[in-house]
Amino acid sequence: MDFSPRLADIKQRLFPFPLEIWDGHTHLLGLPGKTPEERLERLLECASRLGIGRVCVFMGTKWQFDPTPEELREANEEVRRAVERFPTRAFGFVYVNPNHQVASLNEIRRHVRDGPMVGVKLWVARRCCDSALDPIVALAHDCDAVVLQHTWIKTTGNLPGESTPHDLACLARRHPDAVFIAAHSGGGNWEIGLRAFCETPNVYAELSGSDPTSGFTEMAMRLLGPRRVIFGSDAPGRSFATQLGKVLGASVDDDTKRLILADNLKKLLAPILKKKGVPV
Amino acid sequence: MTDPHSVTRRGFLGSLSAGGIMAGPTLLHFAQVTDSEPQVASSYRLIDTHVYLFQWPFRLIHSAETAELVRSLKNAGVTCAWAGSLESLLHRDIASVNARLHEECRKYGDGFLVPCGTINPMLPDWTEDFRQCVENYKMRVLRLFPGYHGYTLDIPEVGRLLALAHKCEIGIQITIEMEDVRAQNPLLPVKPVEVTPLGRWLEDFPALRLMLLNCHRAVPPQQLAKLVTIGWVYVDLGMLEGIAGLERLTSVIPIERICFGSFAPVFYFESALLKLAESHLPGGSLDAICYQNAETFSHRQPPYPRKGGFPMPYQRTCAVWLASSG
Repeated sequence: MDFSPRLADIKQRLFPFPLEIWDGHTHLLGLPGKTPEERLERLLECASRLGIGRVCVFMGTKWQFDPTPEELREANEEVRRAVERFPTRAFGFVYVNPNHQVASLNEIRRHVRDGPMVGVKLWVARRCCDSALDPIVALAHDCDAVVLQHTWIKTTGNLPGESTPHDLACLARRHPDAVFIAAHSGGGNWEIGLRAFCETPNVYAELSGSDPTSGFTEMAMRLLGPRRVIFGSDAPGRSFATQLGKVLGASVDDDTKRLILADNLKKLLAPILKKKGVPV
Repeated sequence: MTDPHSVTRRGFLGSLSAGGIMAGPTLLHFAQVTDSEPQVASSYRLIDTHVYLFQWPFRLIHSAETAELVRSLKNAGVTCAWAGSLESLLHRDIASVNARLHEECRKYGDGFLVPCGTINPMLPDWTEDFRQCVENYKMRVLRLFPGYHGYTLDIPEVGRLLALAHKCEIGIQITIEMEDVRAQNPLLPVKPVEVTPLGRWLEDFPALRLMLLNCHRAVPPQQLAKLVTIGWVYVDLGMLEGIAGLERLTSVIPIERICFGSFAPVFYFESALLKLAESHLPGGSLDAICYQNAETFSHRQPPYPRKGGFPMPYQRTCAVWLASSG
């Protein structure tokens, strides 16, 4: 590595102890590259600069709020091509849309049950408290896949199909054996979002996709404990740096940082990764 | 220490109109501040141009106690921090806000904290606040909060303020936003500041130095590039997002206009520091961002000839970029 003395000094200050880092939330959209593989290569290159060893990636190179079955297939094919190029460093989550239940279930079978992907991604097509999600969650659970659901509380108003943390808590209570990751944990209004998960032990709070406002990680730790908080960046839209700073800059002990940065996500993904022969 | 009563407001304003200004003593003061900064174990210097003291109105911040903030910044390798006051956002007695900021920096900073007072040009007699900051407190950089003080940058009072700063050789930091609008308390929504009017002022005051704080979400890159070609406009790293953000930023504006600024303790300090490691930058760039550009901003020492705007490589890059972005 070609670190200048200054950069080496900075890294020494930020990583005074050995750290393994898994990023639970990344995308291909917004990266340079002609192919999904090239885009992922660029993402991993930047991740490596900050010591991020493994990433979860989802949603292809074009995004739609309410994707058609064909658009879902295209997005998932792109992600699959990319992660198959880096099978030990990038883990794919299949993107589904509860407004197209049959197509979504087929996508889970194709890419998770019979393919390399290890999780299910839900975005903003329909609020996740809706019963349309039940078959999707049930199949994901049968496959040992985690369900990652976007959650935001926007002062300016959510999209019609955009879930809040309360919506996810509602879904999680209906499926107590399934495992959920609350992407963004309510976003910038995390003080409200995190409270929604106090009584749902099968929901893990993920820190990605909002400004690095001080106190986020500490409050997540205080409310949920060190084993229910997961690092994610939402790169490339967000910076690995800003999001990683939420953990490295938090007033929590080093053991807690290790749990948040890798161990908690590793534990969630270990069963399905093991089934697929991926070394953890 | 200067007697706070040694320069009257009449004398102060009179000295401005006569062309005389206190550049000597204030520059000396700033030099003393940077010279007396504590030595850290490493060889590098790091000036954080965007730090705050006191409490953020909307949540308790761990490092909001000044002593704790100073300790954590020093531990992180910061050698000098330009501090504004979070009280500035909502307090109306700005003179008291600036006095507390000055005293807090003196008490806890030990030369490490450089106070950046606030001017609210909507207040009656704001020029007296300006005079106090410059004369009494020897401030070299002042901070504006147009969004929180309810004005736009095209009003005549902004012109007066910038004219005064231009004359006094004071650097002006303009806070474009403090929060993601999607995450604001619904009882206090504050929109990002519209920077288009700055083009006019930069043309009127060609030596004026402006630093836009937290500008990267609200100001489109092409608009930033345009402003930077008009005058001495700098930016900090606050709210710079996207992977390898510094690589992208340096393709739009010259590296000489980028200063390290963390927005701590409202944001985790480490988020800004990590940005330096996330991008691959040309040799020497880190020193420029970490302290040289801030020194240029505060000392008025242009790193390259003013005439023509920018070195040729940047002119080409910028022209191509602007053409391609329509």
